Order: sequence, then structure tokens, then C-alpha cells
Amino acid sequence: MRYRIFSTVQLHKIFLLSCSATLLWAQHAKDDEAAKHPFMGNPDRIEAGRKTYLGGCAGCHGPEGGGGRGPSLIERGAWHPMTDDNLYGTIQKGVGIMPAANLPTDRGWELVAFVRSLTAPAVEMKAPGDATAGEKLFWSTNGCSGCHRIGGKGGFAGPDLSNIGRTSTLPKLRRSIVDPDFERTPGFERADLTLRDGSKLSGLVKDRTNYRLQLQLKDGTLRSVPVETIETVELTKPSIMPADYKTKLTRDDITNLVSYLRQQGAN
Amino acid sequence: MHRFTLSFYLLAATAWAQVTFEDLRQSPNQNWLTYAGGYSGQGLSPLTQITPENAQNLTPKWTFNVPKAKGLRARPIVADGVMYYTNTNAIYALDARSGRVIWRYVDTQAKKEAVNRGAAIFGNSVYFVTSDCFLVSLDRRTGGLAWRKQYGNIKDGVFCSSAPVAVNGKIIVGTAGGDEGMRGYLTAMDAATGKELWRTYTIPARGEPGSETWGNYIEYGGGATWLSGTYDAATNTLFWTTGNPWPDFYGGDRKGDNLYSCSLLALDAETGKMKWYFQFTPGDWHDWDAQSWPILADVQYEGKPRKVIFHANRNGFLYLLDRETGKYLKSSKLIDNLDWASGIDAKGRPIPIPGKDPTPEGNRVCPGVRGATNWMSQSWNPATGLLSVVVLEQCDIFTSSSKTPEPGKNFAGGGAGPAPKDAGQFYLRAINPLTGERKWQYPMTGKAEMWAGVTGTVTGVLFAGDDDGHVIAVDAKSGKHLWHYQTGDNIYASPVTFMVDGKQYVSIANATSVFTFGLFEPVKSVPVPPMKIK
Ligand code: HEC
Ligand code: HEC
Repeated sequence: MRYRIFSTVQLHKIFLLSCSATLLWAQHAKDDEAAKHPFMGNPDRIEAGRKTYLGGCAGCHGPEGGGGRGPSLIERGAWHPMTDDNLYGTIQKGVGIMPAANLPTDRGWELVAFVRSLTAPAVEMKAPGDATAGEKLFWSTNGCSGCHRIGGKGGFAGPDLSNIGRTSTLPKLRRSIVDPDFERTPGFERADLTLRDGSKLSGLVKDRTNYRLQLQLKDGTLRSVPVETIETVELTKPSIMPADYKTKLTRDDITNLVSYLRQQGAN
Repeated sequence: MHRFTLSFYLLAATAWAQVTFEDLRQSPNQNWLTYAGGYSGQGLSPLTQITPENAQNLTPKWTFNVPKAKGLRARPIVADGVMYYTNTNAIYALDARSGRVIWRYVDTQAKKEAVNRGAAIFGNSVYFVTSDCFLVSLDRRTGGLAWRKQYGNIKDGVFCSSAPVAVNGKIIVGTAGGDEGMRGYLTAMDAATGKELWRTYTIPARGEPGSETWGNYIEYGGGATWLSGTYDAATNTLFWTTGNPWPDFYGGDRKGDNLYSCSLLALDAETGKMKWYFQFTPGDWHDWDAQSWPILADVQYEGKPRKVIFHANRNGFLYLLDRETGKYLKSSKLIDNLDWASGIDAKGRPIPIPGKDPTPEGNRVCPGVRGATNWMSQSWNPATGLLSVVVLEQCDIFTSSSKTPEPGKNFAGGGAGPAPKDAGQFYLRAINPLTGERKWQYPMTGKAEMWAGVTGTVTGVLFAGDDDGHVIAVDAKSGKHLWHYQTGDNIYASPVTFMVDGKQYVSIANATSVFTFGLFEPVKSVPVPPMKIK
């Protein structure tokens, strides 16, 4: 299927109509990839950057980049629109109360690679730990799989983690385990309903408006409930994910879990 | 700490009803489980709530503005009150009653962006394809990724956009492309694992039977499988149309019929082996892909029951074929502006009118390059014996170039488009496919820009889109207008209808949003429920 372009007015029309009118979009993707510095994504350089970071930056931005006197570096929002070049410039020259780093070029770029890695998909990053041990822990009784699914197995009470290595970052994965309430994933508040007909219904709130609740029951079934059929709603705001893994699990356990989870979505 | 025992949340033994092969065979019913509605592709829903008498009471129920949408092509599928809607490298699960998002999956790995036409469902999985030809399997309850498996490589000139077809444990996927040099195929993958089970090319390899119908460039011959096909469970046969040969507008280097381009293939669903083929446009020079899916019907023909296929082709003819053998039975003209062939001979081959090939200076030919009809859905109603088809009356100037073809370089051997002030016009036509008789037509104003299809119900209502961005309902018997609603943009997709909680709905996407309609009901005041927050 192809439509030939005859005038600029028709150009628009033909772009919309053609089955093969995809070149413009594809082009855009190529441009984005063009200007990468060779250190970006390189595990050795990232590790070197991390060491520099711990020495000179962690005091203000937190040992894991979570923020302190300086802003969090693990939230994409703060600096994501910056190009790598601008980031390099900011680090080297300083900004506001942040001092200039004035490092040799390669050390500067190592820092850029490290800072970028904080918001890169976890699956693209190297991580320490024993993924097999993490996998065992994940699937053990009273482990994580009672609530989470991977590859079509597990529970429905937490987010499906089959692709978590692509949608999360290494620092976020760690934080999700030790501090579930820090950043919630929408759709996992628990609701206990009493309906006007006297029956009760409990589930996780996938969506809630003034007119309807979309609940997911514990077997995964979805139930769309009109508000006029509801007598009372009890909403549990804190995350239902246990908040005490930080103390219940060892540092190694957590590192191993992160190592296992970061691979989900790798294919 | 946590007031609720963990056991409350633990995995329960029961699961949400799985979508079975039998469910797929029953579609469409309250569900709309496949791109074409059902395996036969008839586009006729058994739902009876909306009738010609009450269609005037249709009102909008909800709108979902699809993120990043431009020129949406997808048709939703609906299962158990959940609608699955795809866009480029993304799929959304919506509450079909409210249009609210339940989950979304955005594929961040895809290396190409093209339109997407829809999803498939089987078991507890939904399937869709990325533009760079990965089949993605997701848990339909959570959107959790089960796997993504590659079945095509954009480096070979293919890309992917069609809705997969789920058939008895297999997911059948096709390839788009064919205008820059590629070799089309269909692939069957295991629904559970994504393992490739068979692959059937639409263009033979050099030396294989059929390759003698080509000259040079057979390796890039085209024959894309743009749309989803249909399926006959009784004989376990897939019916799939194939696209144009390449280069599109200059056939001087590929003299011959160019099998199996512009054809209909009947394939054994188990093995992918070809049972028969029928070629509509041998050695095509006008980019007239065989596009719309073949409709499978059982009719009385010449006094006897007969299993047949209807196919409305881009080349301007409506075909009637025997479903078991592919034998040509009859054809009729979909459009009045048809000047490249004087008719179809007894074997089903067009009788060309000389001087209608594209030329370096440009040659006006009817129908135009977009064809008499294209990817829009049709609706067959056995009760009225009418096939409703959206057709385009248009002629284009076709130019050719005999420059040496360069695969992958945006080279099509020429081009086509309407001359200024020669824009076409769309019609919704109801045709008796056994006789070719046109029962009625619904002419459309507009700029000849739309691509909306039509869907019918047994009560005799047809839902369609018009060329001004309206969703419309017309009387299937007479073509009389019943209802319309302005969506605010062009429509390039086809409608569906389904039922949830005892209410029938109609959905269609315009360029940017999904619109859903139902019969008018006064809205009752909704109390704010007493809410305790812990
Ligand atoms: C004295 C505390 C301090 C130190 C040390 C420090 N920063 Fe900062 N950093 C800040 C503050 C405060 C800001 C916010 C500045 C502003 O926006 O005005 C900031 C901003 C940033 C930003 C975001 C820039 C922007 O405009 O959004 C990055 C990236 C950054 N710092 C990286 C680093 C790195 C890498 C190091 C180590 C070489 C470092 N910082 C050392 C305090 C510090
Ligand atoms: C009682 C159920 C439950 C258990 C047990 C549980 N989680 Fe969770 N988990 C949740 C819920 C619910 C969320 C979503 C956060 C929220 O409540 O908003 C979550 C979120 C997460 C996330 C973030 C997901 C995202 O989308 O970014 C990760 C990672 C995670 N959990 C890992 C684990 C691991 C590892 C374990 C085992 C050590 C575990 N969880 C145990 C319920 C649980």
C-alpha cells in the first residue's frame, strides 16, 4: 500500500492514510541515539563514577542518590531534559550552592555515566548480588510471589513484576523493597466495601471515580462497581506490602532480590 | 503495622474464566473477541438491544483519548466487560462500561513506530505486535509481560501492524511492508510459549513452483499480509489476503503473474501448507493489494447449499469464490468508475483494457491507488442477503519509473494520486454478492479522506463512520439514515458492538480517541458513598 505525494496539502492526508507512512517517526528515534558519549552504559565507567560520587557528591545528594541538601538524582524529573553535555557542564562548573567538581575530562564523564545510570532501566545496568539466591527468596513461602506475579505465576496483590527491569531503575528497585510507601504504584490500595444489598466485597482499587470503582479480587477477577450500589467504603491507604523488609531481610538478601528483579523484562 | 493477614492476598485457586477456542468460535456475541469480530469475518453481531426503531436514542457514553494517537487504525476487542485497545507499541485495558484505564503496557524496546490495528485474546493472555515485529503476550488481568518474541526483522524491509489471530492454541501473525522491497509471510506461534510453529512465505523462493511467474527482484517481491485473515474451524483452514508485488508501479522487470501477490491464500492452520490460492490481480501495476479479509459464508447458490467466500478487492471487483476449492464463481463491480478491465473471465482472470498501466507522464486510471475499498470492515447479513461495503469512487494519475529498483530505499517504481479537482467520493453500498445487484447506497459528503468500516447487527442496524468524522447508524434494509454523531476528527477504523451488564454498546475510534455509545438513559444522581480512610 503506498500513496504518492502530489501536493503539500495532500502530504498530510497521505501521511495519515498510508500504511507505510512511518518513516518520519523512525527517523526521530535515530536522532535520539546519535550523540551518546562512549562511557554511557559502560559498567566499568559507571562503577568508577560511583566511587567518585561517593567521595565528592554523596554528602549532598545521598549515598544512593536519593537526595539531601542537593536534589534527588534518582527521580528522572529533576534533570532528565538535560543533554549529557549539559549534565557534564553542570557537574564540572557547579550550579547554585553546588561547587564545581573540576575533574579531569574522563572522570567527569564517568560521573555523567553514573548519574545517568541512576535513572536507566535496571535491566541495562550491571548489579552485584546472586540472582539465583534472589529468585529462591522471591518464590519461597512468605516470600514475594504471594503478592507479585512474574511470567504468569504468583499473586495479584502487588504489581506484576515480569517487566520490572525495564520500568524501574536499580536505586528504585532497592527502595521499593525497603520502603514500599515511598513511591506508590497506582492501583494497589485496598478497599473493603459494604454493598447496599448487604454483601461485602474486598479488593484492590485499580481505578476510582465518583461514579465507579474498579476492583481486582484476589484471584485476579476484575469487578466494576457502580458507586450507587455501595453503602460504605473502607480504604486502606498505606501500602499493603510489608514495610519491615529492611529489618527482616539481610543486606545480601536485598541485593540478591534486586539482582533477580533487574533481569525481568530482559528477554 | 498491617491489619490484614497475608493470607487474604495470597493466590486463590480459582481463576478468571479463560477465553477458550470455543469462546472464539462463538464471537461475536456479548463479546467481540477478534479483530474481524469472529472467525468468519461476517461482521454481524447477534445483539438485539439496539434496533432501527431505537437507534435514534444512541448517546455517547464515554471517550478515551488514546495517548500519542495520530490516525488510529485499531479496532477494539472486548472480553467480559474489558476492552483492549492498541496503538503504536502500546495496549490499554479499559473498563468497557466507563472507558477508565485498568492497566496499560507500553513497549519501550520497540525500534520502530507504525500504526497498530488491534489485539488478540486467548486463555488468560492478550497479544499484540510491536512495529518492529515482536509478538507480545501479556496477562490479560494485569498487563504483566509474559514474553515478547521476534518474528520479523525490520532490516528485511518488513514491519508489523496487524492484529494477531488466535486459532486453537496458535497465534497467527502477518507482516506489513511490500512497498520498498521485502518478502511477505505468515507465521504461527505457540500461544503459550511464542515458539515459532510454521512460516509460509507469500512469494516463492527462486526455483520453487510459482517463481517462474517472476522476473528479477523475486527476493523482494512483496506480498505483505497487511490485515488479519479469517478461519474455517470445520476444515481448519486459514484464509488470508496478500499485498502487491514490488516495485509497485513498474512491472517491466517482473513480467508474469507474480504469484502469490494480490491473492487469497487458503492455508492449513496446522502446518501452514497452501491448500489453494486465487489471484485477483495478476502482475499488478497499481498497488491493488488484496486487502480486506475474505468473508466466509454458507449460501444457496444456483439452487444448492454452497460454502463460499466474498471478497471486495481494491481492483474494483467483488468476488464470489468456492471456499473448498478456491474456484471462481462470479464477480460484480463494486464501483462505477472502473476502467482498467472490461470484466472477469470464466476462470476469474481480469480482462484488461489496454493502455491502463502507469506511464512516465502519468495515466489516469480508475479505481485509484487506494482501491475501491481497503482495510475497512464489511458486514454480511444472511437474512437480507446483503453485503455492506464502504467503497471509494476515485481515479488517480499513475506514474511509473523504470529506474533500477533499489530495495529498502523508499523506491516503488512510480507513484499515484488524484489530479487536482478530481477527488473521489465514498459510498456505503449494500450489494447482493451472489448477483451483484446493488440494493441501496448511502453517499457521503467529505474530502475522500476517511477509512471507516461498517458493522451490522441482526436487528438490521449498520454502524459505520462517514467521510466527515461522524459515527452513523443506518437501516440495513434501506440505507436510510438513523442517527449520527460528530467525533471531531477523521475516522480510519471500524466499529464494534458488545454487551456488558445487560447493555449493548457500540465503539469506534476516530483519529485520536475511542468513542463508545449506548441507548439513552437518564442519569440518576450518584451519592458520595461514606468513605473511611485508614
Ligand atoms: C554542597 C552540596 C552539593 C555537592 C557536594 C554536590 N551537589 Fe549537586 N546539587 C546540589 C544542589 C543544591 C543542587 C541544586 C542546584 C540548583 O538547582 O540550584 C544540585 C544539583 C545537581 C544536579 C542537577 C542539576 C540541575 O540543574 O538539575 C546534578 C546532576 C548534580 N547536582 C550532580 C552532582 C554531582 C555529580 C556531584 C559530585 C561531583 C554533586 N552534584 C555535588 C548540591 C550539591
Ligand atoms: C502483601 C503483599 C506484598 C508482598 C508480600 C510483597 N509485596 Fe511488593 N508490592 C506490593 C504492593 C501492593 C506494591 C505496590 C506499592 C503500593 O502499595 O503502592 C508493591 C510494590 C513492589 C515493587 C515496586 C513495583 C513497581 O511498580 O515499581 C517491588 C519491586 C516489590 N514490591 C518487590 C517486592 C519483593 C522483592 C517482595 C518480597 C521480598 C515483595 N515485594 C513482597 C505488595 C507486596
